[in-house]
Amino acid sequence: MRSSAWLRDPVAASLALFAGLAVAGFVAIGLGWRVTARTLLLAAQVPAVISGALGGLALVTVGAGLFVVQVGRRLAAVERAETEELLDEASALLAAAKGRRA
Amino acid sequence: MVAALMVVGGTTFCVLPQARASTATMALSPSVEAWYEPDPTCSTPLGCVSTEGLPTVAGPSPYPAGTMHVATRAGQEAARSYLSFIVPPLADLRGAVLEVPLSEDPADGSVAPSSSQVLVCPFEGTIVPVEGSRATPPTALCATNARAVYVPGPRPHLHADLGSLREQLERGAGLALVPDPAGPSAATDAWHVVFSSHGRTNAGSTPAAVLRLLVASDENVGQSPTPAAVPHIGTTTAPPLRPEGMSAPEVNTPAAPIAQPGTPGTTTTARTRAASVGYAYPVVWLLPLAFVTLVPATARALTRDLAPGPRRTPA
Repeated sequence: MRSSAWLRDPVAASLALFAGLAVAGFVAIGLGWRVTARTLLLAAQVPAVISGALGGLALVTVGAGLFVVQVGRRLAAVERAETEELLDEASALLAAAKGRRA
Repeated sequence: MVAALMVVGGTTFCVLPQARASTATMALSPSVEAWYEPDPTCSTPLGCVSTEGLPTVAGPSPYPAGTMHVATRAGQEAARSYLSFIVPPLADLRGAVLEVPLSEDPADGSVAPSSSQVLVCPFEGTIVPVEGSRATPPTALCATNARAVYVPGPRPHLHADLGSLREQLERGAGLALVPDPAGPSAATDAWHVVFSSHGRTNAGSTPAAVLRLLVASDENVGQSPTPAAVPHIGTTTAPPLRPEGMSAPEVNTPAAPIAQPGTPGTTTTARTRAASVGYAYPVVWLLPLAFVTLVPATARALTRDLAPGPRRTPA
């Protein structure tokens, strides 16, 4: 029940997507290491290092960066929602006080 | 819609190429050959005489230039040979066979090749083209080995199934041909097999050894002449990489000129050949589709209102 509520949260899918990018980056780094380690041929090692290590590093960086940005947006949205809620309650209290005077 | 696109793309780019995949054979000649003979002092009752600090240059080889040797004399190893290959990056190496055409000419040193007991062991490291060197050769890693079987006809050769050495070959290891120390040999056994290096060009010489790689590939491997440079490693001529059926070993190609001191203008040329072997991971063909999917998804995620669910109204 709790998990399904979390899944319905609009931020969940995007956080999963960005975390997946970072994980894919680590996988790319691992594959690059695997290809590089299995041969002594420099011509095979260079593309593996470039595609695996550098590409993987880029994926990790982009994924982690977007993850942080999204978490920041989420916190800002929560803060904004709480502020609006507070203003709504203050407005309701003000209206109630005016009605009592009248 | 996007998911359907991904499925169609996956089917097109991944499944179908694998369905078309077949096996092809690639033949490689050695890039560097060397043969070593043990220090003769090691066979004395006193053991090896230390030659530390002394030059390890042996006298001139008594055998014709360009011949490689593996031999046993009186049950003791008398010669071993090392072959180095440049194996291109292959997505799926399924097997390998080493064929070593033998010279049975006694003038080359051949003695009773049919009774030879030769092991093929991997070795790591580099070798230089030496003949009859008494320097310490690279360590042959015979924990994993393959037996080279003598095949008498139509042309006598050694045949070794290197299926057990696939991983070492993929890593770029070379092959050492050593007398089998555990073979059925007596103290009086003596045999001597001789084969030619790839640079031996004199008339009547046997072809050089050939390493045949059985690879899983699409039509490109072993059939496409598309050149893509295989790098040159070391100081010797890069090996010709040719598809099966070109019968290159039978063709006597002139040796590349070797630079001699005092002969300006003479250069060493390196022939480079190559094969298109495709991507190591065909799934990379899905990357454009993943990009097309991820960019809109990311844009939507970054512009979506992330406020938590509907607010509870105060009672």
